[in-house]
Amino acid sequence: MVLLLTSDNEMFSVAEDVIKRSAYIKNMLEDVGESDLPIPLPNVESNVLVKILEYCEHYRGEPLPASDVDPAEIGDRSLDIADWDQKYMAVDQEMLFEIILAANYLDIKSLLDVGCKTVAKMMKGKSSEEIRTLFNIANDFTPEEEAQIRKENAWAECR
Amino acid sequence: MSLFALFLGSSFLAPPGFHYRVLEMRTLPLEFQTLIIKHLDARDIVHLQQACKGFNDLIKGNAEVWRACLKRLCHVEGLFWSSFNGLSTDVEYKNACTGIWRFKKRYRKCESSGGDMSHRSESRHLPVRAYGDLAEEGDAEADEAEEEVIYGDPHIKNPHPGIKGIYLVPGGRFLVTADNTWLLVWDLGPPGKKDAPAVWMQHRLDCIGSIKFLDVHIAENTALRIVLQEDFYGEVPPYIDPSQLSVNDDNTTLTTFHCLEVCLPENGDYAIKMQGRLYVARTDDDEIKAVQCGHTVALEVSADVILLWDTQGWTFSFWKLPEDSTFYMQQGYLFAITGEGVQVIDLTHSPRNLVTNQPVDLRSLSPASAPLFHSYEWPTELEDIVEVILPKSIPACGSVEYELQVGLEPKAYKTHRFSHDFNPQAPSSSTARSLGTPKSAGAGADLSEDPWIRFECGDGDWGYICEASPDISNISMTLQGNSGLLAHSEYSDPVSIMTPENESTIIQEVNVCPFSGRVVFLWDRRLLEDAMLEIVDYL
Repeated sequence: MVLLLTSDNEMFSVAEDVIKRSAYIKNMLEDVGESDLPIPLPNVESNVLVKILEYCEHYRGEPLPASDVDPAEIGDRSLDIADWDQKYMAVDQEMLFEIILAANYLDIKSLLDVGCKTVAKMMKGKSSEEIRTLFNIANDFTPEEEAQIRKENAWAECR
Repeated sequence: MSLFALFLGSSFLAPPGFHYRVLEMRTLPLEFQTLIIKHLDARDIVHLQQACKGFNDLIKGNAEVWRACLKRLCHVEGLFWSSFNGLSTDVEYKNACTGIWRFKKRYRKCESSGGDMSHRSESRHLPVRAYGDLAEEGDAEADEAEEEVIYGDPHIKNPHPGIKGIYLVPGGRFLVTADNTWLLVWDLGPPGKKDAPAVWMQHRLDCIGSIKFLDVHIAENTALRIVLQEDFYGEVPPYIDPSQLSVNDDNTTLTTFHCLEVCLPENGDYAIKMQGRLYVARTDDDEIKAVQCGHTVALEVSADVILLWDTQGWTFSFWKLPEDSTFYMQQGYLFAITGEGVQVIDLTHSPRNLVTNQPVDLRSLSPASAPLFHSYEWPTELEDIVEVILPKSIPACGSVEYELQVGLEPKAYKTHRFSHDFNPQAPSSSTARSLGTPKSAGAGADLSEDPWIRFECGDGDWGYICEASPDISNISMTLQGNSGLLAHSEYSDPVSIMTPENESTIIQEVNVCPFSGRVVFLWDRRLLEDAMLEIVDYL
């Protein structure tokens, strides 16, 4: 078992083959060897770690992906997301972004990729106005600036 | 590393367990925003850019985002990635990503304002002497063509009169031409550039029979595998020992298949490699179709009978497919589609015969039934299938979609869409399902002439090139589909894209790359008895 200490000082005891999906922890275990000391995760809160562990637990036993492959480079053609991953990612936006950051910190490439795809999928096919609503952002362009960008991208308009 | 440092840096400010900020898209470190945007297509990126200044600043000037977008486009639409070798700025990448949108937009504009897209003044021809040690005989032919003057008719001079086949590589950058002596790879310039075409590579063919391109397959992003067919009628090519072959009747046709690999990697190590040659003797002269997958070439030598040629292992198999089937290959499997369903055939477990220097004599061989790996049955059986629109290839496993067009009456058909998941490890984990019968797909179009070629033009849209009726010599284009621009009208009017030089000139071949707006025409100038190539950029 591996001990993990989150930023809000919660201790988690996790099976080694579950947490090894994190390349960061896997490397650390290989470098340090057997130890009773907890691994501090100052960037991960307990509620996010619970979520991350749920992912690692689900994919327990499946082969780890090769570490040096960029999924965007090897013909990752579409925004297709596996059913289980979709359900897993059905969380509020803040948690979604927390998962992305934690997946990056813990170096779980497949999870980082699924997270980014999930956000991208939310934006797909939306107008600028719908994107503003989606991410709760204000239109801070002047009318002139807005007209200019529209002109540059006239090809994207459907009329 | 930088991602890690950045995250660490920002979160040191936060006391443990305290939310110092609400995490949202705009407060996510920029590197992560970029990672997300890299999954979007061009139109979504632009909509994001128009949402607020922050996104605009991030996307404008960001070559990484547009490069990723282009790479995805290449994967999704089957474009040749090497077409974009040498691009580096965000503007260049973006331009390449948006070509298809601008092409469709231009089409719509022409369609609504009278239906003419042609502008001959901008067309290009192959230059006279672009390459060094080209054979003298080629030049001699060229001189002849130049000297020939037809009374009262200023023909365009033709330095390459003997071109037998053309292939515009998806992406629009490279054009492969073949005459009996040379296979040439031309660089037509990146999208938007209209410099004189230049020969990038040449390969001596020295064919004596009649040749044509049978199939060109994009392999591993940066290589093309070309299958050429060379037919000999009533003669035996010099490299075949006639004593080994009984050509005792006039009906025997000898055919040579040449397989060549054209490598165009990003690092500039360009090369043309001969992959292999296969000689076949047969009695019928049916048109042969070829499909490639990896190093395997499937040659449909007569109806539902295929000669499977492994160009790497130098072996072949001879198989019978289900009756009236259309087939394609991916991931080492052959998919034969009929009105009943799909039969999947495993290419790796096939009996093999060694390819030798002597022809495979189809006159004395009988095809074995293909080893069935798995089959999927349609929920409803179909009859009178006139056309099968094949699915795109999938990465490893996933869903494949088919469109089967069933003939109803002359020039009308009904489309049925089916799909199944394919996973080589667990083929039976899925069954075929119906995706319905779309109303608009093709049935509404007035294709008064039989379409010549059908081409994909992004987002599931497609186009047709026809000879325009009633003026048979004019060439027109129709675009159809359900995405963005094209979804607005029930059917599209054909738009005229080209007229021949004069009455004696007829069209021989057209190649279209809508993503770059580039179209290549090969004319048969009957008075001059030559083939004239013309390149037009419709962007």
